[in-house]
Amino acid sequence: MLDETVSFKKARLAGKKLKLALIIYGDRGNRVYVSTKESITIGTPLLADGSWIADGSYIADGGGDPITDFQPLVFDWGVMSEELRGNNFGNVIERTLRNYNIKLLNRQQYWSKLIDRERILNRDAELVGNYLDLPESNQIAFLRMKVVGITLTNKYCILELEER
Amino acid sequence: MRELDQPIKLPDAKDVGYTGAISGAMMQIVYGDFLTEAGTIPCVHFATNGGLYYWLVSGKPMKSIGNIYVEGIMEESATDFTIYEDNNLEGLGNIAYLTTPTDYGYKKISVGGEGRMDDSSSLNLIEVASEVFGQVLVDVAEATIATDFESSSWALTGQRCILQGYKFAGIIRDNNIMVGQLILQMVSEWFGDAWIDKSGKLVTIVDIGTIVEQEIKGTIFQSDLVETSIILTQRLDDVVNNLLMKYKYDFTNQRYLGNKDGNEDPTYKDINSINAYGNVPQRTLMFRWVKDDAHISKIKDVIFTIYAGVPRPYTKLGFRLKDLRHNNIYAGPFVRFSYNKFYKDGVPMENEVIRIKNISKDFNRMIIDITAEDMEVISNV
Repeated sequence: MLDETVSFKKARLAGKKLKLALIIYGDRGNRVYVSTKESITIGTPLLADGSWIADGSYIADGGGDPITDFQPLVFDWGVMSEELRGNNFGNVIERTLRNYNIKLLNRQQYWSKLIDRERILNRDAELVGNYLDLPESNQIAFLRMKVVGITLTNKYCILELEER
Repeated sequence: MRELDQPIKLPDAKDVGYTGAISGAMMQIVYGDFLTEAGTIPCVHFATNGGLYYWLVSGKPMKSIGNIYVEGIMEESATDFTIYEDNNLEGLGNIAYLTTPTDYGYKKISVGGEGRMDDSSSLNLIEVASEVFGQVLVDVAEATIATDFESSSWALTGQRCILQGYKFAGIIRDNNIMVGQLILQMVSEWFGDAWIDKSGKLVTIVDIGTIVEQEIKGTIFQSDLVETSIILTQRLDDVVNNLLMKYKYDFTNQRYLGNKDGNEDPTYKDINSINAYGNVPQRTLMFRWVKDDAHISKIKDVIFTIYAGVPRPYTKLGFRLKDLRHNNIYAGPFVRFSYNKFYKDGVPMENEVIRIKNISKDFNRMIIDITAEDMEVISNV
């Protein structure tokens, strides 16, 4: 079960569409990547203008780490699969986790330049989900990973991620 | 390349013509220091003559022969043995051997000693390879080296071995290995490579983390590339920052006596790389032809220069060439490469040196697929 906040649950039950983001925790701050199909912005502060109810679902100054980069570059979120293998009695003897690939656009050689000047390999990364109008403190991390491989072409960058 | 395709022909004692020789006793050759360094030389019972048993140490003269061991136990007085370090036995050439009146049957006899060495130390790779080669075709050794080895790479390899202080130590006793294979085995262990070039000559390199201009054999321009085929990869699996290096091979007991473990000796870990990438699983590497501590330390430095990923991760490239115009490119050498959509040191890749690792030429589709590794520095040596 997802460890969701009240607001998150409300939004989920209201049938809103969950937005995904990939966060790479870099040397120079966090880099956030969202789908190329989205047109979302982040960092909207909660204003004490009376539109928020102090029911515990919002946190003042909502947490949040510094973001150095925010780009709509995720072309394909990919598929994560894992498998439990058991013996005949149903005991789990092995958990097989396949690496997860995420495909991003190399628009204007964004990744060519980035991997040249900053180390991305072995960086921690998270796949998080949140609803558009909720602050960051509501977001849920679906996967906690590290970058174990980078494949770059003129159009795409495929990040290979391994669960931490 | 017919000579390189031949197996090493260590002479059989019977074929050499020693009186009372045992058929199948190979005239092994010992290189390097087994006296002060760990490990012993297993002797070969090669003849029985006049009530004496002849045990071969080396088919070439030894600089010295030290302690004698029977079944691994040192003979304190060793009066049972007579030692010949450099003797022209029956006028059939100078060899190193022991004689004893005692029939040791199938017992294991081994000795300490200094094999083929120059005045002060072991021979370097080039000198050994020349000898190995000479062993195959004794009559034409020098001439064959000149025609079968690519001379500039051969000279550079020798120069680098001297620069790095690489010393060859070991026993050549295997008759089933091809000459070219043995040389490849030697250089690859010393972080090098050997391949046949387009004119059929053996090219060798010993990688010390730098390249010289003369090693660069061609240029691939951006206009030669099929743009959709170009791939750059960096993987955590390629990072090496913790080593377990086994060396000082004991030919008598078939095990490694030297051990450099990054978990015990911090100089065999690359701290900068560990800070950047974490503790990646330790790599175990074995070195059959290395006995010298300084030598193993130099190899470690080269490995960390190339694979520790600092300052830049080890990078591979894959690409396709549009036509067969570059048909003269082959696996092994360094070429220059340009592609302005990948960056290096803050600027688009232009005339960067890469090394071709894998090449496949498709004559139906008239294309060439290549995988290569991005190289670092150009230097004079």
